[in-house]
Amino acid sequence: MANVNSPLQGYGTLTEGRIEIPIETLAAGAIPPAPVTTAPYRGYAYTVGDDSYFQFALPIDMMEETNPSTTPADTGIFIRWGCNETYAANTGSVRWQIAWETCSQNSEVLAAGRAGRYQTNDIQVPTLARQVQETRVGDLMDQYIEVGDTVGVTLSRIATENGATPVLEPEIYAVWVSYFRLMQWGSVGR
Amino acid sequence: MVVTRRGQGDYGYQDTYRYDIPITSLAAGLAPPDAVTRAPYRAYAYTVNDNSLFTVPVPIDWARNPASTMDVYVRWVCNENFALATADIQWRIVYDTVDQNNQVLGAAATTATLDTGDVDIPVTALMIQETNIGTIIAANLAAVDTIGLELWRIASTTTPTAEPEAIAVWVEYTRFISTYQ
Repeated sequence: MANVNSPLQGYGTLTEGRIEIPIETLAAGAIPPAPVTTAPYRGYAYTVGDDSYFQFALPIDMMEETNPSTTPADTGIFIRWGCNETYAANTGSVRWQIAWETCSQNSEVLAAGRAGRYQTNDIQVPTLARQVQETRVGDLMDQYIEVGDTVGVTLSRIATENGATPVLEPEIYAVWVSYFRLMQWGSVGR
Repeated sequence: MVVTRRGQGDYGYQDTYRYDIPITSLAAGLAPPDAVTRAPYRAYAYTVNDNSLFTVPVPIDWARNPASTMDVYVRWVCNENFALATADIQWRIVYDTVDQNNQVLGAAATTATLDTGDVDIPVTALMIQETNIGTIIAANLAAVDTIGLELWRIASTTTPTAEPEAIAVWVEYTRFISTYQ
């Protein structure tokens, strides 16, 4: 997508930007997951009901949608995870959830209306043990977010609806936020 | 996201960029280093065989055509001057890279161990030294891979009495900024 014209930010090139969440951030939650080391990787193993809290800022180069009600969500939260169990062992499935809330300065934390909750479908554990699976857990709704907002997220493993629970716990190795980044052309003269 | 993993365009520019590791990431490892405060700096002191484990992405803007390398740097100090015991230290990184649909440490594992060799501690106590610990070769990298990294202090020829303290760690890479896609 080129030659994007945003009335807020002018002309530029649209590309993907990422906010990487340091993996050790997952250690904090109401019922935090257990750290797992598969050197040199560090991960966190979630039993059903475990959760992690983290927060990030919506970056200054994020493109704000001009008409968010008619455009798809651009800002998504992704995880990479695996399970030290093959799918054939127990035909296990897992389900992930994010609940998020966003606030600007002078707005109230946990103010009604600027929050969302997404959950995935039941996802089969990968065919191979510790095979890395990438999952988009959910999105931030464009009409609720602004550049510079602070976004709080609760990432949880929740019970599946139909699938069998794997014997071993799924492990998250990476988390990031993906967004549309506008690289402006040119510069302001003096 | 629609643009994820699109090929980078033919037009753009490259520059050297870096991905900084939060210093608190050093706190976790198989034998983690001790936290040290050099106010206002926060650091981690490594005895021999202490190590930290953390995760780094291959950034979305990493130059992939041709693929470029990634270099792991540490800035460190030692509260001891070189003249005292002509001491040295040695750093090590162990890394593995994995993409989705591959196994962690599986058949396609791209693990490597890189050592610095002996590095003299600085002439002055607490003087910052910047060390390139090693290069992750381009052949082991692909866009948006997840990299598992271990940072170790390993044995050297003449061990200082004071422990070296890492105060910053980052990965340096070539960034490609498309101006057309």
